[in-house]
Amino acid sequence: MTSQIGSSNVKKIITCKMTTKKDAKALIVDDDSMAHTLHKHLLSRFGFKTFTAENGKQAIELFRSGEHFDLITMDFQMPVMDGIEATKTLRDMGVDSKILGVSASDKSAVMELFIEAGVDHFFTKPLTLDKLARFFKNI
Amino acid sequence: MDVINQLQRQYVDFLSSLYREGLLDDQFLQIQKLQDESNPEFVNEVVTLFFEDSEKLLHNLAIALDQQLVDYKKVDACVHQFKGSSSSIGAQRVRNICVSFRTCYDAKNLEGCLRCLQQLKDEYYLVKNKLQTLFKLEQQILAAGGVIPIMG
Repeated sequence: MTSQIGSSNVKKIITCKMTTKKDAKALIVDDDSMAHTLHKHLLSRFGFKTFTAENGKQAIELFRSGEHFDLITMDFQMPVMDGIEATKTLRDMGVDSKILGVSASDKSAVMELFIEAGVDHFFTKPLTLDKLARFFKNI
Repeated sequence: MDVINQLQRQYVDFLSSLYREGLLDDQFLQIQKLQDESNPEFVNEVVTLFFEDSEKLLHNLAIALDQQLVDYKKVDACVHQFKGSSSSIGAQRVRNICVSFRTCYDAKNLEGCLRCLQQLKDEYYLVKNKLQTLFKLEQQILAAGGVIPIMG
């Protein structure tokens, strides 16, 4: 079955509790430019303004400079500082943003490390509209 | 109108074959659904990034496996990234090779790794070729005044 929508799709914002307030911000922490592109589009569909960081250290520096984000997508494997260390550090700093751990690895050990570090949820890549919709529905 | 219908049917048949052969999975459809009037080139953008990243990674893997003393952590990093990017666009067979690849470098099996690298190259260039054909069909549809069908 096909539908004739093509590139004239109208952008629909998906209702989400987190973005009912104006200017909800999401930080995408990943060293992969494809992930930046994909996650930006996904999150903007839920009404987030999106920002990116290349690694955990950059993410921490953003918070230390006074920035705040409502949601963070945190990749596991990154140079300089990985997602586990970054998550632990952010939580120790008292950051209460929702943090989603993401990884291409489907090893349960990665999920356990992320949960111990303090994420709100873990997703195996790729992130999709459905996965995010289910997460936002349950918070 | 007949020309447009014919091109659209050709497009749908071709894309269906890519799903049937396991070259693409549902994630490709998810990416197409993200394309809209504010991002009319989104699929092209993501796929182009995949091509650029993949060719760098294949090059880096070849170098890493050509060393006297192979650094399997570097191999892991490349394959892990390749797995992520291929999953992100739905290049299923490329992703599956990455999974097998891990078994080889976990065991420090150089011969196995070299075989996997060749398989990875073969599958990557196959899916690249198919996606380029798909985009050509899209251009033909648009040039004829039609819209690109989204399967779902």
